[in-house]
Amino acid sequence: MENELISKKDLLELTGISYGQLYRWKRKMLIPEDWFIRKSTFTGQETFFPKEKILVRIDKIKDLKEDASLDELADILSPSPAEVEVEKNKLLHEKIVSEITMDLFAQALGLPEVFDFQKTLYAYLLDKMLASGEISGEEGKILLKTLEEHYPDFAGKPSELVFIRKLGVPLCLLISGTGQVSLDAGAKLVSRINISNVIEELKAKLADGGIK
Amino acid sequence: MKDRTRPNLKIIGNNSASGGQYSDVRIIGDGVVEGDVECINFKSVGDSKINGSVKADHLKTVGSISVEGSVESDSIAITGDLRSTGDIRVGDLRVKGGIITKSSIKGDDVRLTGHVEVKNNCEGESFRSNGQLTIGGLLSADDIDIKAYGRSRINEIGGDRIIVRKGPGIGRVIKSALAAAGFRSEMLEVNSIEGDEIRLEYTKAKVVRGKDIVIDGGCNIEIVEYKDSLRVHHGATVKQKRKI
Repeated sequence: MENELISKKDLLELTGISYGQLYRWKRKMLIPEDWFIRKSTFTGQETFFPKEKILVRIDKIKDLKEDASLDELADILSPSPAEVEVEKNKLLHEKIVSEITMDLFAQALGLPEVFDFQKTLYAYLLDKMLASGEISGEEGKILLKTLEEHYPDFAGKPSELVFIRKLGVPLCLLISGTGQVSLDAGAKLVSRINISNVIEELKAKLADGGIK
Repeated sequence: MKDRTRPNLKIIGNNSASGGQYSDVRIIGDGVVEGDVECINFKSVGDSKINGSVKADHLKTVGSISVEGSVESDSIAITGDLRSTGDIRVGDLRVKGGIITKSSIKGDDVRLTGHVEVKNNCEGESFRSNGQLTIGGLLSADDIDIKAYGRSRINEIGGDRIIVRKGPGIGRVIKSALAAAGFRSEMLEVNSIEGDEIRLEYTKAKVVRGKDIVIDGGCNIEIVEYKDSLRVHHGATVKQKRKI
């Protein structure tokens, strides 16, 4: 289950880590603040975590900490862009980005020789949205142009991508933080994506593909 | 910040200057700096006020310094007091006197003597304090050593080794007599404490969770959850003990 929670106690028991480690990793921002979910229980306040995410993260930290310092780890796991350069074919080969997305990317922004992290992110976001059937190819180009033009201002900060359609007219927004969005009755919220989460996902995929 | 070609700033007496990038900043007397300051060495004696943020390799103050913004430095040494509205990010932090921030402290080696008021979190590799503490958020460090004076209050403490001791105040005998009579004048109040090795004295807490826990005299704890060992001193009250 995606939204299953695990209590701190159970987490420590299950993973064999100590309070000291957990707090140290939190301080180093290896575990994002918003994963710490407070809830009242009969024993007072307790902290819970999104089970799947935290278990994957702790495995990753344990795995990586053998050969990287905590500060280096923080770089890998933080929402700020990694230093990556990937060739187009590699992205296609690792199935990070599909052919169709790549074509759209070429039409909208031109095809670069190598993709840096941000370009990879744009393509990956587009790929996600196309794959979910939420947007059309033409709308995808608007998305890419918005990202290309404005995402650099948001880089490294938590941000969200919001896609709205009203009377068939698409509208793409970038929002810093995770605020509330309200729309008038005629508008439809097509998609809302937390970019930080996507970045993590993408970094993990790149790492799996042996790119970083 | 090794650019020695930048100018120095010197304020002497009752005077003000504008912020900017400097090599060394020196304030003697009653100085006001308007705007953000970035420098290598920041030294002030007297009363200084910065209407902006401070970024310095080293910051040293004797007297008081008040910053309307954040403070970032490799080392901060204060004899007197430091106030800030923004975050304090620091390597070594040494304060004798007081430190008050409306935001958070994030440091490596933090040693505080005197009055401490932090609105949000206080983090470090090592945290030592000797005095009255008020921390609205989480106090987190590998090594936490607190000598609490007066009425100290911390929302949450988390770390590896956590020691809370009672600061010297009135003698122990009078103290325990007062405590018996229902007076709790000197005590650290915490909602939750979580760590691997915990040793507490004169602490009132809702929950204490850890691996090896020692609850010494003067404590009043509602729930203790321990993994390996628990020792409770006869002068301490623990309502519920649970081994997990």
